[in-house]
Amino acid sequence: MLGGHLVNPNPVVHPVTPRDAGSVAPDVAAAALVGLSAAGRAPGSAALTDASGIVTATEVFEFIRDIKDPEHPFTLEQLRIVRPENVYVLDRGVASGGPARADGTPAPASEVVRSGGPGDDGHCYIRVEFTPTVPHCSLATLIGLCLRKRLERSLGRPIKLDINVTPGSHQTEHNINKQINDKERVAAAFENPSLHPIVEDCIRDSDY
Amino acid sequence: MSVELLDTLMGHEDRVWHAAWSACGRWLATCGGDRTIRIWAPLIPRPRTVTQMVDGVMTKQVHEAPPPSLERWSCVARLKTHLHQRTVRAVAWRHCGRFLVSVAFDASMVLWQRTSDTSNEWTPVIEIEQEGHGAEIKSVAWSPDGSFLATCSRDKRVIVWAFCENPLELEIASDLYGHGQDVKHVAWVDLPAEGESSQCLVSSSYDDTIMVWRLRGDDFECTGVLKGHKSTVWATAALSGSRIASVSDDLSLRIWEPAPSQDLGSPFISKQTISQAHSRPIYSVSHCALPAAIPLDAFVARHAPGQVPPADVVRLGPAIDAAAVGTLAAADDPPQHEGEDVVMGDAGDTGPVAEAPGPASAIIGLVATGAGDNAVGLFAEMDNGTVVPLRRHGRAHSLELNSVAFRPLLRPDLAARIPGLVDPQQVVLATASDDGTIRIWRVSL
Repeated sequence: MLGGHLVNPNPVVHPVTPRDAGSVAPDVAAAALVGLSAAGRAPGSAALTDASGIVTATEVFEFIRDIKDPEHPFTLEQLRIVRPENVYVLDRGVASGGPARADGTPAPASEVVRSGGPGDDGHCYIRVEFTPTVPHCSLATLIGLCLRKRLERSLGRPIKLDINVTPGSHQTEHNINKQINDKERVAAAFENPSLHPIVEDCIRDSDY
Repeated sequence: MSVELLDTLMGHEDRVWHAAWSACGRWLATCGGDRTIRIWAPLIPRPRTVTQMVDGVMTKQVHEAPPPSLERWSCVARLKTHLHQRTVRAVAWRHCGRFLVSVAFDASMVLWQRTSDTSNEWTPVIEIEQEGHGAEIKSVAWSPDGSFLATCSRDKRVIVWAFCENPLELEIASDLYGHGQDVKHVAWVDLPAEGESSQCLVSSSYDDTIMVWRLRGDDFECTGVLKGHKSTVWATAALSGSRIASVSDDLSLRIWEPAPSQDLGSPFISKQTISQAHSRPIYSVSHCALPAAIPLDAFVARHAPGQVPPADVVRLGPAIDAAAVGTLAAADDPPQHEGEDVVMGDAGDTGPVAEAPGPASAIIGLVATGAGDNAVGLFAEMDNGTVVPLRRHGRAHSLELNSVAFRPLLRPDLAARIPGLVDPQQVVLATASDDGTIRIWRVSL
C-alpha cells in the first residue's frame, strides 16, 4: 500500500457481482498459478472459456476484478474501477464483452481492435476500460500498470492489450492513455525499483 | 520477391530491444532486457580430422571446413558490465567495429573498445553514469564521420557528444532542448547545405514530431520541426537522396524529402504517407540502398500474375503482375488496394507537401518496418522518391518486433576487401523481438 496522503480518502465501495458458478475457488486458483496446466492455461478456468481455448471477456474480468486498489483495501471491482461491461475481447475472430446489447450480440470487432487490424489474424486483442475513482486520481497510471501486468501474466497466450480510462472519467485521459499503452514507458516503469513492489503488491493477493 | 528465414539466434534471456550491424556488415550487435550486449557473426566451421584404418595403417585425414554460410550464426562475444543495471536499450557501432556504444534505462552509457583487430574481446573504456541524461536513454547514433555521438532520453533532451580517439574522450558538445516529451530515437541523414556540414541529426519523439538539428558554429541548432504524425514517432531512417522515412504509433510510414527552397520554413516536406502499414504501433524502420537499380519492367516480368503467397504473408502492395506496371508508372494515381492507404503528400498534414511525383521506372532501394503486430513490412524505394508496399510478412516472430536492420550492402569492390564477409551481395535483414530471439532473413527481388 502507498503510505502518506491519500488522493481519495473516502472511496465509495460497491457490492460485487456474484461470481459465475464456473469461477475458480481461491485454493484452486493458487495451485493453478503456481503450476499452469500443460496447455498454459490455469485449470478450472476452462469453464470461463469455451472448449477451443478462445479467451472471453468473462475470463479477462475474472483476472482483474480482485486486483487491489493502490490506496485502499478494496478491489478494483468493489470500487467500480473495473466493470464486466468495460472488457472487450476479440480472440481469433471471436468477439465478446462490452455492454449487454438488446439483441444479445457481442461488441463488434471495431470496438476492440485499436484500428486497422482485420481482427482475424490469429492474435488475441483485449481492450479494458477502467474508471479511476475521482477525476484527479494520480494513481490512474499505476492502475493501468497493474491491469497490464496481471493480464500479461495470467493468460496462457500472448495478447495485444490496450488499456484506456473510460471516456469522460479523467481530466487528462489522453495523456494517461498514451502513457499506459506506450510499450517502452511501461517496460521502464516495471523495472523501476519504487514502482515494481507496489504493482506486485496490488496484484499479488488477486492470485490468492 | 521472397523473404526467407535463414537462422534464429537464441541466447538473450529477455526481450531483445535493438539490433545494429557494423558498417562493413560483418557483425551484428544486439541488446535487451537481460542487460547484456551480444555480438553475432556467421559461424566459422572448423576442419574435421577423421582417423581411420587404411590398408592396416591408422591414418588421419583432414576434411576441409565448408565455407561459412548465412544460415548458421553464432554468438562471438557477450558484453556485460556492472554499470548497466537496467535494460540496455540500444547499441551503435562506430564505423567498422573497433568502438561500440551501449545505452541503458538507468541513464548509463558505455563506450566499448575491441582489444585487438583479430579478436572479439571487448573492454569498456569509457563509462558514463552521472553525466548527461537524467532518465532512460532510448537511442544512440554515431554521425557518419564518426566525430559525434547523439543520444536521446525520456528527459526530453537530445545530447550530442564529441568523440576524440587520442586521447580517448567523449564530451558533451550540445545539450538540446526542444521536444516537449520523451525522445525515442536519433539518426543522422546526409543533407548538403551551402557552407555547412552536410551531417544532419534527426530526433523522433513521443510529442508526435520529428526535429532536425544541424551544426552551426560550435553548437547544434534546431533547423525545423516536422509535424504530421498523429502519435508518437518511434523511429526514422535515412533513404536515398537525403529523404527520410519515419514510423509511428499512429500505424503509418511517412516519407519526407528535402524542401526545394528555404522559403517553406522547414528543411523537409511531407512526400508520402502510408497509413495502416501495420495493425499495431510501428517501432522500427530500416533502409537498404541497392547497389544497382532494378528496372521496373524486369522486376515485374519475374513475378507471374496470380502468384499466391503463403497463408501468413499478406500482400498489401499492388499485385506484382503485368497489369500493375501501368499503375506504378502513373504515380500521380497511386494504386489502391484493400487494407492499403497510400497518400501522396497527405493533405491533412500541418506543413508543406511535395508536388506529385513523376513516373517510377526502377527500384533503387528497400525499406523494412517492424511492428507490434509481429510482422515485417517490406517496401520498394522507387527512383521517383516514392515508396511502394511490397509485402507484409506476418508472424515473423511469435511476439512483437522491436528492431529491424538491413545489413549494409557494399559495392562489390569494397566488399571484396573485407575478410570474413559472407555472401556480401545478398540482401540480409535482421529482426529483433520480445520473444528473446533475433532472426536473420534473406530478401530476394
